[in-house]
Amino acid sequence: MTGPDPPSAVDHEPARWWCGALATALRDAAIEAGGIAGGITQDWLDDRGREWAERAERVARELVRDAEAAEDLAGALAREAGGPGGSVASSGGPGASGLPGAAQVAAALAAAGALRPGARLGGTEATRVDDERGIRIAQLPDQGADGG
Amino acid sequence: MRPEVHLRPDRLRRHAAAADQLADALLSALLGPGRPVLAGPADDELARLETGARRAIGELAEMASVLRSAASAAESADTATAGALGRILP
Repeated sequence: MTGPDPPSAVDHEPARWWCGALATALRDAAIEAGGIAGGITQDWLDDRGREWAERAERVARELVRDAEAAEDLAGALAREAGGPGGSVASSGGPGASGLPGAAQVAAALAAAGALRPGARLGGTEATRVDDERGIRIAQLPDQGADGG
Repeated sequence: MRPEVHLRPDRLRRHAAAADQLADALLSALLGPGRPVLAGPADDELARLETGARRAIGELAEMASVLRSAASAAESADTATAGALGRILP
């Protein structure tokens, strides 16, 4: 007795397409939300305005995160069906050519954050920095052996 | 001087309209035809994404409302300031 037939690639195609479309919509929304955050930062210069600018930025970040999750889900559906693995883009799903990339979204968020007045605190991104510390004092080159 | 005087009501209304449009676009994406019925963890993940999108929609709708209120307050402040100046200046 044989088991059920494994799902064919075509069975997951509508679901994969839908998840890809959702990912595109979420990424587009993230960019727009970043733009709104930047606009509020520029045009509403008090504590309430800053609060709402931060809330808009938070919405943008969450939309980016959910867009990535939707893309991952589309990829997982592709792998489960035994179709071409990985990304919606490689499968030719929606947004293959027009999907806003992470770089665009990051630029929109950075633009919104750059307009905010006040002290800027370090982020939580893990970035390797130079190990050197302190002031580097300019020095004259060593004199030659003849003591010129 | 009242803080609302420094606001630009036209710009705040533009941001409110943008937030409303964005909320509508997200809702259309969620309610569009062809929402798949998946099984197990995949469906849980899809439900989680839908919940997140709905939360963003709610936040954007509230943001639009607050922006419009701020724009109205700014216009009221402008009117009051203009009235006060009109009484002071010849």
